[in-house]
Amino acid sequence: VRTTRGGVLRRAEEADFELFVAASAGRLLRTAYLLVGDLGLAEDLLQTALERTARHWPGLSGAPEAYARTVLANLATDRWRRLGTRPREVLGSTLELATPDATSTVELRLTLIDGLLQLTRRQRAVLVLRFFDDLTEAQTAAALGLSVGTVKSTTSRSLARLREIASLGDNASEGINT
Amino acid sequence: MTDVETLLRRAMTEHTESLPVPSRLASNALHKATRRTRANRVIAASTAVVLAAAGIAAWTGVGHHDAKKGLVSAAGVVVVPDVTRGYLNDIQRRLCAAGLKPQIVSAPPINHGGSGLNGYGVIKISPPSGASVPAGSVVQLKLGYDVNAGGIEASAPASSLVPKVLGLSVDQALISLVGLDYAVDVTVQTPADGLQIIAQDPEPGVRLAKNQTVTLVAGSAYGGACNPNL
Repeated sequence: VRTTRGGVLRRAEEADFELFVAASAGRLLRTAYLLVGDLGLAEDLLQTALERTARHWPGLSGAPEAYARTVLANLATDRWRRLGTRPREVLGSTLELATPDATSTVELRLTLIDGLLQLTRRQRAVLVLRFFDDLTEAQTAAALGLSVGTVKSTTSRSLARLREIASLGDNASEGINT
Repeated sequence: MTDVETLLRRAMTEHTESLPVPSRLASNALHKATRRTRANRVIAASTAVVLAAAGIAAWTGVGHHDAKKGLVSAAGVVVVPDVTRGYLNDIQRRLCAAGLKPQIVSAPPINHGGSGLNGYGVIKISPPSGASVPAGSVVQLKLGYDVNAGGIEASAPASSLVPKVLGLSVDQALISLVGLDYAVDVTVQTPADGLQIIAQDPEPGVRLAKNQTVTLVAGSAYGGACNPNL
């Protein structure tokens, strides 16, 4: 991605950028939250990702959200690397943020989210991009700098691990269908 | 496996659907991006100026400083290095290396019976150290006795036939003769670049007792080429 005019946007470009943020900030924030498991940190990552997106805005050629999502994933990875090991995030205000639901469904959802946070950073990032952002395997591979084969194998292992962590059995399907 | 995938999709969506999106995200991002860009421009411009100045200096010689060679400017001006006192050989080498022409203008007799070589060396240079002169300028050296002068490098004395010192530089002649325990009287005929011995008495090959005086006449015998290997 190349910047033009030294990264300073024209007025019209600023307006386009503001429209982009209004349309995609919610999705990007949710992605960031699922990646790092902390709302405050997710907001910081989103702000940084948007700043970088703004700096490269003139050269993004119609795919700014994908670029911002890639920056988010990289920022999360950088943070994990700085910490040395994957942090043990807590769910924080999950219950307050969740929509009213049947108790069993809420418990199942919390179990899955907790299981997601117990995965390795790569496994979590792959699952978030694949099943929350609905990226294809190729798009996920591009966003995370992995090969498509690695994304496939990581997805398979991550789901198996998630099933194991959440101890999902036949009752899981029952819970989601209530 | 499909069930886990479906459950996970739904869990992630429901878990995050009520997250509050901060306000002013776009304006903050634009503000920070602009500020970062300007800061980067300042850094880049400063770096470019420094690199350009360094490049120009390297190309023209400005700022090239060597403690032994002196400071050479773009206009070919040389700062005379600090060689006020010291060994004649060393001083001549340093002046030559700085692009100057050392010229011995005064070399009084070596008092062999007294101090001998001890303290005999360069006691004054003109123009003085630190002066800015055009490259290639002559720097006049005055030899003599000074407790701070480095003296002249010499080998062990021996009695022998008077060696031929014609054509040698003054310091080479002095070293050769004083090293044989002769007293030396040097007369500078005409101060000039590349001062050489143009006459000697006694003549080469004459046996001369220790502590006797050899008289030399120094003058310009060639074009004054600077020989840093003196």
